Amino acid sequence: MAEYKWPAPAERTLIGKRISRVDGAVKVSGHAKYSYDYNPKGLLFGKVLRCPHAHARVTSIDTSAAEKMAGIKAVQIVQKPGTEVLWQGDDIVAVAAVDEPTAEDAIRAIQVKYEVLPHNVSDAEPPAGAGEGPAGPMTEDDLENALGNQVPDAQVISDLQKRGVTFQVTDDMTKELKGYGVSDAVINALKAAAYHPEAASQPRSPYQKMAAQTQGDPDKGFASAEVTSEGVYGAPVITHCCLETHGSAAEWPSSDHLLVHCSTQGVSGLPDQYAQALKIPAGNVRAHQDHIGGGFGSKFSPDRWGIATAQLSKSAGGKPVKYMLERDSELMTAGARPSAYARVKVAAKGDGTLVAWQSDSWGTGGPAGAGSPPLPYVFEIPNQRKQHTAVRTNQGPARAWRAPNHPQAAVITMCALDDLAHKLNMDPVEFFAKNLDMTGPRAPIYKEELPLAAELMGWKQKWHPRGDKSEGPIKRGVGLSMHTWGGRGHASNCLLSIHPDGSVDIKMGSQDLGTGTRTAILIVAADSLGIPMNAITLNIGDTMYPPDGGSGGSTTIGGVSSSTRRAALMALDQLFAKVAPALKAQPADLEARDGTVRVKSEPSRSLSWKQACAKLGAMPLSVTGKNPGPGNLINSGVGGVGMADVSVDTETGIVKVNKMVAVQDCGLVINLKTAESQCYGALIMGISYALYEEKVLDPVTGRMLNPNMEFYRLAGLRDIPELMVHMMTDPLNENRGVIGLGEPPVISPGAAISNAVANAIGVRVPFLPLTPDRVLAALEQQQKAGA
Amino acid sequence: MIPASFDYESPKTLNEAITLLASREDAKLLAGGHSLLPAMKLRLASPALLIDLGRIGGLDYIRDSGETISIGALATHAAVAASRLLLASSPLLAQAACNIGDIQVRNRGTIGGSLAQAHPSADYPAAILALDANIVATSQSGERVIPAHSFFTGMFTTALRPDEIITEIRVPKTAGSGTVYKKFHHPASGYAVVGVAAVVRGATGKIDDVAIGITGVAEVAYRATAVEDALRGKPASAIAEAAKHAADKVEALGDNYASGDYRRHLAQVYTRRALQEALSSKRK
Repeated sequence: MAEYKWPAPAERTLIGKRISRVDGAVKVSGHAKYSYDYNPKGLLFGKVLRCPHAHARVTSIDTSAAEKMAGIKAVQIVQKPGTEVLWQGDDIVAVAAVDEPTAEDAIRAIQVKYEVLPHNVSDAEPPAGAGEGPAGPMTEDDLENALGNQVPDAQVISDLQKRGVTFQVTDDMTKELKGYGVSDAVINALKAAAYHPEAASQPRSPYQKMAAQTQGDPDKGFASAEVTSEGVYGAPVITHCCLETHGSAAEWPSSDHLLVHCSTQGVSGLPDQYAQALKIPAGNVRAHQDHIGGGFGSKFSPDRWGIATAQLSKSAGGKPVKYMLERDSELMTAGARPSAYARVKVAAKGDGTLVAWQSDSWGTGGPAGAGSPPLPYVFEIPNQRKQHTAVRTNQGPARAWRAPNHPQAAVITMCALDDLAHKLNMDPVEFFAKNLDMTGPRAPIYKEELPLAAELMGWKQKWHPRGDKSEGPIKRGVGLSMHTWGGRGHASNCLLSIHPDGSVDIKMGSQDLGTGTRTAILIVAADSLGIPMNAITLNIGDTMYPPDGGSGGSTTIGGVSSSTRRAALMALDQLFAKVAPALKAQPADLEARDGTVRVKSEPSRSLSWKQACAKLGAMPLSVTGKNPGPGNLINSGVGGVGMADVSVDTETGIVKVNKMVAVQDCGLVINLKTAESQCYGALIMGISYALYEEKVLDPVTGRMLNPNMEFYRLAGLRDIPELMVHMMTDPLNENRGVIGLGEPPVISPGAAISNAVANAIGVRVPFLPLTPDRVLAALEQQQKAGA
Repeated sequence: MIPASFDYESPKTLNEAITLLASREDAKLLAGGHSLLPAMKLRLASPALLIDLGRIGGLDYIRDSGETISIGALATHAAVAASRLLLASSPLLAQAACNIGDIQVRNRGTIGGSLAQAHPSADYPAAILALDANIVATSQSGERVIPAHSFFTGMFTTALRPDEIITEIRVPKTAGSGTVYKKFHHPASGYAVVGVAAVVRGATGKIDDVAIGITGVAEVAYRATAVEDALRGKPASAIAEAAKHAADKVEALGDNYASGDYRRHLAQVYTRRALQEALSSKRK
């Protein structure tokens, strides 16, 4: 039996090398097909009428004029009269037509009447006492918030007993909660909770104060401190802004079989979601995706519009209907990263040792409030007092955004620590280094990464105490941040076949999010089988293939690499058994290398790969490697350091990033080139949310003011500075196994850039994005304070 | 993002175009289309007839007319930006043109189309004002010369009559003066958040005369007369103080990228930087 481990460094032929992605050529030449590109003959075009109000009740819908229009093939009411709509842009009616202009005309011909209800779109700091006092019965959102934010079971149970609930507790619901790992005690309390249906329609406070959390003795901690820093920090709601918008094409090959081409982060997870909504067996749903133009955590569900697309197709006799969101719908409804802000007090001894932390944080993720960021981030400061208030707002609901809650936590924590370092008159690198023992199990890696990052940045030459004293309006500064993430591989199945003619094929339900998953699978398989990557046919992205986990939480590389490695080793076991007699050897004495199967101790006794496979006889051999599975191939937990060098024009407020550094570990690297690419991409995305991105909502109308890429700006070529990435690939890291990388490097840039700006101009700009007007306002305040 | 349906005509001569325009009230002229087509796609504009001027020959010249340079209304921004004649004798307009949009926009957009659109953040108006240029409009009743200072009447509105087509722009030569167009690009759209066009005449260290046109700040581009008045006959050291009046008595526009206050502030900073640069770049 094979021993399930990674090959030793000297034996690796492909793993850990810099290998160009196998789909690079089709992507740059435009041959790669995205869901957006699926244009079969007879395709109908979907459009969705969206609610113009931030909060309203649908009172009537008249689709008669649209239905009579020539070229209209189906009309589907998505949210019936009587429904309460909680954000601008929510789907009300969908239509399918022979072409896009007709579909747009039909949308204009539909009459929807609304009762407009009061809205709140502000996530400003909650007034004192907000969210306190006797809370009404818990809504589903309240419960979800409590469970999603690690509120202790005892507190949830006591709330359920005292407050009751506004919704009916069904078996489906308790089953689902159990599936998420909610304890029996909570589920029993939920079942026993008093039902108050009348409370559901009563107006509620937008504020939901979570239970305060205390560790150690914060009062004593602050009393013992020699230096205390106070400040307010935060990051606003931003959107995912996928360049390929959300959407799908749906068709019904027969009356109860659905085929969807959906832009998704989880191909294998789609059938069940469609099946539940459409009341067909999940096995009758086929989903397919070759390439995706961005998801970032926002594309796991078919979404309301996706289900509507399938319904439109059904009404249109099964003909394919495609509906991809328009740019404004994408920005309004298809994903928001929750905001997070905090008033922070943090204290240290005179030598820089951290002793106490206090934070009053708040933020919103739409109608359900928001998760609380993990504060203080990375550093386990011994004495802490924390309080979070979730703010409910009428805007498109939150979705996971690349490292959910971590970039916000980094901004709040790392900026507060940087301000404290300033008060201590310490170089932040020395100050962070001083406290690294508080970072837990990742401390040894941070201790390697921090000086390395400083060296790559040229920190010693560039850093100066706050405020660049040089002449002229342009001021320069440097800043840093640190981050952590899990990244354990998800469930994965790799169906690998070796054919008697020597060909090899792999089938996996996994998607390639653009991260290089295809390439990684081929690297692992080819390295393991001793054959070239192009000798293997890889099929992914379809529910016809064995299921694979969704690509979220940086879980894909650990999942697919380990299942593929196991499949390859299992397949070799079986192949060696067939080949051994011909080589007059024991199967255990064989190895597959350099396109041969040979005797380990005497490599000249060998068969070519093709000759060896011919020994299989008439049938191919087929195995399924799984994750989880035998052997320690994967792990969890990474640490990284980010640094920024910026110039600020103090007359215009414009921030320009000159250089970014990312030093990152992720265990064993499968492909050094795409691993580095992940970090490059993350740094660019980081510059984007640090300087530009913000979902701006009009308090009066509740509408989004920048649902376009003119006013919702992403970083472009001109904004990209020198990017320096270093992956930690020493044996100590490699021996941990494969760990996910997609999320961690995007966490630090916001905080690092904010700290660099503070270093340059001598004053903190409290909130991201660091727009010119905010920079100038901070400078003006500083001037007033100095005068 | 799909326009309402419309009729389309592409006259081959100016006369045909003028006749068509006079015959229909609901017609719009297409002269590049980089502002009109997006507006139609957003259904902010739904003209019943589009008169495409693109097929009219001979209206894209840039030629020396003695004291002035004459530019045909259909000259593209790219042609204006690259014109050796302009660069040698009156570079300000070329300096503004090379800042417009991106390569695609500059290759298709025309100077006549842009002036007629009168976008509050367009680049040309600042330069046209600073140069005291003249705009020639043609209709069935003949040609009319409109001085720059009375051409821009408001946001997206000009002194053009409904039956008039811009046919030529006349700019004076600026030999002996320094000219600079200093622009703060909107980071996504490329429009001017603030654009300052400056023409400075003077000997070393002293300013004899100065003209400053500013776009992007107000509903309509304007001459910064308070700055001009404060600088005529003054030494260069007066620039910093004078530039603080760049947005005096101006009602500034604000949007979600740049508030009115921020635009006024930028107008001051960019006026100062433009004047200092213009003085140091002054041609012999």
